[in-house]
Amino acid sequence: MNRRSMSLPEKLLLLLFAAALLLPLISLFLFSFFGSWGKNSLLPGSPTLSGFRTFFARDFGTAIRSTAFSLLVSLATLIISVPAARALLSLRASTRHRLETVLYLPMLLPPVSVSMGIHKVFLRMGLTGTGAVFLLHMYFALPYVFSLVFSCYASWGMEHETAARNLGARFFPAFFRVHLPIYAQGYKNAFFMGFLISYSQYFVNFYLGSWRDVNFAMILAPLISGSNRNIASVYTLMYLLLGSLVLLVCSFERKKGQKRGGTHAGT
Amino acid sequence: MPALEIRDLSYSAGGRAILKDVSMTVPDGALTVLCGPSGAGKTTLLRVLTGEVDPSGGDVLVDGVSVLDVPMRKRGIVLVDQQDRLFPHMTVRENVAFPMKIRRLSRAERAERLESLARRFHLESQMDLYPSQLSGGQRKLAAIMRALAAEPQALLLDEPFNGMDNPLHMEIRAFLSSLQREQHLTVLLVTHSKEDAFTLGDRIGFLFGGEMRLCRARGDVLSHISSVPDVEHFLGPVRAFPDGSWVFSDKLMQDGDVIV
Amino acid sequence: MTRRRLKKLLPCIMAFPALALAASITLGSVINTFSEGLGYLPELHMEELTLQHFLSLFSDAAFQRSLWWSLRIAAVSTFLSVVLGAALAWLLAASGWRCAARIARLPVILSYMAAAVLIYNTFSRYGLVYHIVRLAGLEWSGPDIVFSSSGTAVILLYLFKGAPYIALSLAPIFARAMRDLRAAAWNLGAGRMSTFLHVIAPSGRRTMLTGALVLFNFDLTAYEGFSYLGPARPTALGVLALQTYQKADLRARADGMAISAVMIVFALLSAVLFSRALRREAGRA
Repeated sequence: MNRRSMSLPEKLLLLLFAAALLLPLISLFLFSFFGSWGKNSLLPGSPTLSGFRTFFARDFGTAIRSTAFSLLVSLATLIISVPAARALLSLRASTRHRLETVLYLPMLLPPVSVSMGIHKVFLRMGLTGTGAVFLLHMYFALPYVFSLVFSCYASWGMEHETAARNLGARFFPAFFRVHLPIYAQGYKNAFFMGFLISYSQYFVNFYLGSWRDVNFAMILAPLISGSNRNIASVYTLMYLLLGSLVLLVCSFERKKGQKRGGTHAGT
Repeated sequence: MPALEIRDLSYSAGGRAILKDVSMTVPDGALTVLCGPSGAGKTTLLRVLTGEVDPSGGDVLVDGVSVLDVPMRKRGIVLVDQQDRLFPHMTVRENVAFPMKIRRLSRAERAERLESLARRFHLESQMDLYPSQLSGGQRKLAAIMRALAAEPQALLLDEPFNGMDNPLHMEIRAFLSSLQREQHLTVLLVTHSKEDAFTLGDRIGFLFGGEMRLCRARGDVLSHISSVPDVEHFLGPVRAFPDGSWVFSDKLMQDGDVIV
Repeated sequence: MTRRRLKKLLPCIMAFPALALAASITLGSVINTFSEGLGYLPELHMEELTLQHFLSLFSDAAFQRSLWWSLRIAAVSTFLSVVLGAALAWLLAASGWRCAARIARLPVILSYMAAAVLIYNTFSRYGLVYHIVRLAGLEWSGPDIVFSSSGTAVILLYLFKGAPYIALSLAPIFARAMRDLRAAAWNLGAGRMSTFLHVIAPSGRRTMLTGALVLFNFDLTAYEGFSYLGPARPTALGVLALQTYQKADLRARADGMAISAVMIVFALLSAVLFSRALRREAGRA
């Protein structure tokens, strides 16, 4: 179906949805670049970059560290999800469903309850601060990363890699030269999802982290309903931009690959 | 000594017996056909031979040596399955070169072998294309070319003519037959088509419900089918002629005379 | 060890790190939550197990208000997310507009914190909507929906995040159903709306159920949205659990953990109910 076969009310409805989703983003840009908008003023006040200056002077380092931390969490989660997905694919359906349930539990359990509940256990184990935060970030990212990787395998199978092994390749050459290129986009999607989950964590860092674990979400929190909309909006805009940058890198595909017209699992 | 020997092979999955004490031999340099209806276990047998799945009993021997504990990549049994499994991110040239690189052939040797294979398979102008740019018949040929590049001791072909129209089917069938004879390849070909079995096979095995009902040289099959009702029913009315030709036809039953 | 025996053990070895992470943290937190909720806090010399802390919850007016309020907010936002998300998915699938799909993806990328800033900027008393209304020449006399006891701002936040999430999950399914089934429905005389309701939408039933499960669970027990856009009273379950746990009187920790345990029970119960519904769906398919 295409635009021409949509009725006018349908087109208007879609536009309305788009406007409803864009409106908050428009407010973000407006308040990021304009210092104030008085209640009696029809138009916003004069433009300003003071919010940006404050961000770069005070919290740019924290933002970068936060992003890097989440990238590491996502990578670690992907590294343990890939063999788990491969393993579960080879199991009987009933065994697989049971093990999948275990892996999907972090998606269902409340982060507040898990954080409060595991805190004392971690303390008894001597696991505090960054280590505890890293593990819990992985814990919450795991079901999302695993499910994306697993659905790739379930849809596309492992036959290409089996064919490579049948042709004489050892495990690692077959994995890196055949499997990985085919599933690259699927892995990138899973990686980005894991990054998002970690990047947006607030309560875990707030409750279990030390001063070293203050992340971007924690810096944002006190600004949300503060009186300075400009600062809150600039910080949110930078949060969005850094996340979008990661998305851009994950979406990047070598031009050669795009021209091939070959199918890649996960696209 | 047969190149490939299957002894009392059994395989079960989900509590169901898929293969039951299957035995057959694939002579060296011969094209053996494994024939049977859909769901008989033919593809499963091929997966057991390559090592993709492990049998619950029996043995597989290559040149008289058991290979059940030998990893897939070292067995010397290469499969071209129904979906080809050409690597989509590699050109035909790269696909075919893949097993040669694994075996660490030099660049010069690879180039020579690639050229020879491309010529033999008439795919010279397709070598730098990607699998998605090939026709169905070209994909099948490219997959067989890649399998031969691995220099297997036995080549397994799973329903190689599936999805092909009649002219292409005939063309590929004739090509396979001449290739096998010319290169003295040991081939086990799986098909549900009795016509392909009798056209190509030096030796034909019939697998029904996971059991090998009959396995004979082609010339001996027709004289033995009366003792195997399943095979007789599967083949339907068939008449052999003194010159070694034969014909399948339902109309034989009605008229009593050959109607071609 | 033979190759075949190693091959049998390999899946266990491969899956171990992921399963160990998920299982150990789940078990550790659930066991500790329930044991503290039952009054076992040896560091405070509370070593007798008792149901008192759980039982007292159900006679505690603050907890009841909080539970009812959280359930209402979660149910309303999940329902609206699924309905609006399905409608948006249908429109995305029908239009094939890539830019519309990209716009729908943006709220999914935002964290709840960042989305809360957007909702606040847009819908608070002197936010963007106020100024748009004034630009149109009208006077805004509506209530400040942020921090209101109706939880409107919280619902808007969950809707802003939830509806696109449902839409992006459903759009490919609807697109496929449209391609394969819609012409047949029209050919049989069905109109647009009945085609959507009886042919297209049912193809996404499973995805709607799983999406609703994830959203409901999160919306019921979340901390972020409620703490920054919700009212001080009543407060949401997650916020109440933390506030109770962090009271000056350390013995209140058992009450805080009891609330946390109730949240876990709700989460697991809804998972069981939904998975049963999913199995019914799978059986119907």
